[in-house]
Amino acid sequence: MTGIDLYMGIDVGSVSVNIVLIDEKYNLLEKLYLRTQGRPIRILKEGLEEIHQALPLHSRIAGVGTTGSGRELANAIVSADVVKNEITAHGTAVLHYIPDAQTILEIGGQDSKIILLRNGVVSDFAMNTVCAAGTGSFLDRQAERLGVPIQEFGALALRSATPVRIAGRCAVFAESDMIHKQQMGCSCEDIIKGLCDALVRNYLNNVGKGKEILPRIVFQGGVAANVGIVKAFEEALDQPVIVPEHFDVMGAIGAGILAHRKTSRTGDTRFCGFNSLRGDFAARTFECKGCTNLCEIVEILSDGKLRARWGGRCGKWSVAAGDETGSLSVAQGSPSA
Amino acid sequence: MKIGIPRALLWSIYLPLWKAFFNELGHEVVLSPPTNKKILNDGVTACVDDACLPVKIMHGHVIDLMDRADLIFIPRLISICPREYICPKFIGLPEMIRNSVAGGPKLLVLDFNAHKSIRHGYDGFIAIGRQLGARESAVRRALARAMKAQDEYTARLLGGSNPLMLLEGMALHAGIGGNKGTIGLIGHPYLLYDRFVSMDACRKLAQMGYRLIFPENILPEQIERTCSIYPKKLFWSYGKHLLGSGLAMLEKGMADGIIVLSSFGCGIDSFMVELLQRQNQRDFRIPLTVITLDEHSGNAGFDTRLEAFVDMLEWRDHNGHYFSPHGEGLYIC
Repeated sequence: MTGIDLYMGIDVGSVSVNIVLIDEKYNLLEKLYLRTQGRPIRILKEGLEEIHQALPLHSRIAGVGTTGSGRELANAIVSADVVKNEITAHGTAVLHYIPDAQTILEIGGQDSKIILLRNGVVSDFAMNTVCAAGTGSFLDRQAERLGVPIQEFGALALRSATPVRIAGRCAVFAESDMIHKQQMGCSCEDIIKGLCDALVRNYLNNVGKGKEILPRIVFQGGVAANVGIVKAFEEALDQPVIVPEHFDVMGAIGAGILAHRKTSRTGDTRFCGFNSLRGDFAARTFECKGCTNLCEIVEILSDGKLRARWGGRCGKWSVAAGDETGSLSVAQGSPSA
Repeated sequence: MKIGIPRALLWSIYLPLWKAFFNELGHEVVLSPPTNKKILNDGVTACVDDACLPVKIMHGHVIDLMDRADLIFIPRLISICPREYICPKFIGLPEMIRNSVAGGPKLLVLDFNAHKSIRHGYDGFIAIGRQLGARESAVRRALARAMKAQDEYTARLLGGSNPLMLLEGMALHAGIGGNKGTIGLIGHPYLLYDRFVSMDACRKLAQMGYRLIFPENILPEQIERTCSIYPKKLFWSYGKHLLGSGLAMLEKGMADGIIVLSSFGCGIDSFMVELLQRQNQRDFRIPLTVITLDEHSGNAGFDTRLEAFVDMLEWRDHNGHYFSPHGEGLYIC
């Protein structure tokens, strides 16, 4: 008996590491949402260990996909079959669960994006430009400043009777505006509701500018847990907004689906297996002195052996992840002419 | 004399003219190296904070040239086309540099003002030629030869080449990684053709298998024609150039997708991007994305956007036959 084939999706974001296990029908068997706490490698390893423990009997990992801003890092550790950007991963996951969705609103820890789906493909997208105002980490910080646990933040907003207006363009302005409103004696609920409205306004005017937001609208990413923001979106768009059951790990699910598609073509997985994850992983950086760019080169080592390396502009240091034998080949760089 | 030309701002468009002019007059030309981290850091430190990134980088190039050249050539481009202007930051450039760069760099300032007529624009060359001690007849002869070199260069650009290939010897031919289609790149020359600022976007896209088309490849008449849909004259030369070439790419179906590179805080881009997006939304609906560039040195965010865009092109391509709003295979090439 060969057992059940399972697929693992890993999303290493700025704030959380998400890991999911799905089967061939893309049913979700296991999901983990772990805060990065500034130590992505350790959290990822702990998460993978947890997944290993939870692995059903007679099953094997038949494919692994990574996504998120730390997708290369995750790939270096597990040797993935697919390393995909977040847009494609999120689009893939939504199209599976909600095939008639036409708009995805996604707000994560440090970036926010809008993805337009038409006829089953991603037809347009936008990401926040240079400012992280109105993303999860900003809400985190404001919740902390108001002394409200982030989990209760949204519920408080719903209790507001007269929301105050908060400047939403910039996180720094929003914060000083909030302080000012507090000093005026506005209630905490009203300020929080004002903040939710400001964030949504900023998102729609910035990320969503000029985009045709058509139903059905799906809202996902960690911030979708915040009912205050969901409500604010529904008010601003005057339409219902769907928060999928697994809104917080949709990127990881998408990566898992993409891994299944890839391995069903290639036939086999590159995944290094849970046993080889037991080792000691470490990241090391150094500055390349080859030219005045002084690129920061990152190396991932497992038990002292080089696993992957990236970071140079010219590509001369790049070493692809996934070769356990140690016969790492240096990628073809093209140093400037 | 050694005349330093900073590899910044519009150097990639006018280098053949400038270089030939000085060479014809018997001077040596030294170029600053392509933008690197040190040049960026020097520029950002020296320049006033509210300038845009390309202007800050210009400062860095001037600093680099200071002990290698006797004079540093700074063009004050006021107008490059009759009845049009270019960005006001170009007009104040020599003053900005004099006031911000410590150590008093010796500048050779060219005033180029073609607002009345193109012929008037070249008067500035006569003035700096004289300033360099040459007789007027010699200066005129040098200018004529330089203009010929520039015409040849412009013709090659219009013929489908680009400054990265012609000036930096980069191989950007289609098909490094297959031939998946054509991407139009819209942006100021100092973003598109600066490999540091653009995070090497051109090479990355070429390696992903795309042919690239640039605003410099679009004929001026075509730009004039596409911009004539607007009720008012577009009097910012570069705004018109970028918008017009983007519209031409859309109208003629030259590109499967368009990527606009914009530097943070650019006033001209703010309207150009908006008009181009609206027109695309209204009539063409091909994938179009805007990537804002600033001082970030981390590539991750940039690469994510680039990758996602290319994924989107490929994804749409597979489904093109039932997706095109025009009823014909707009995305199938």
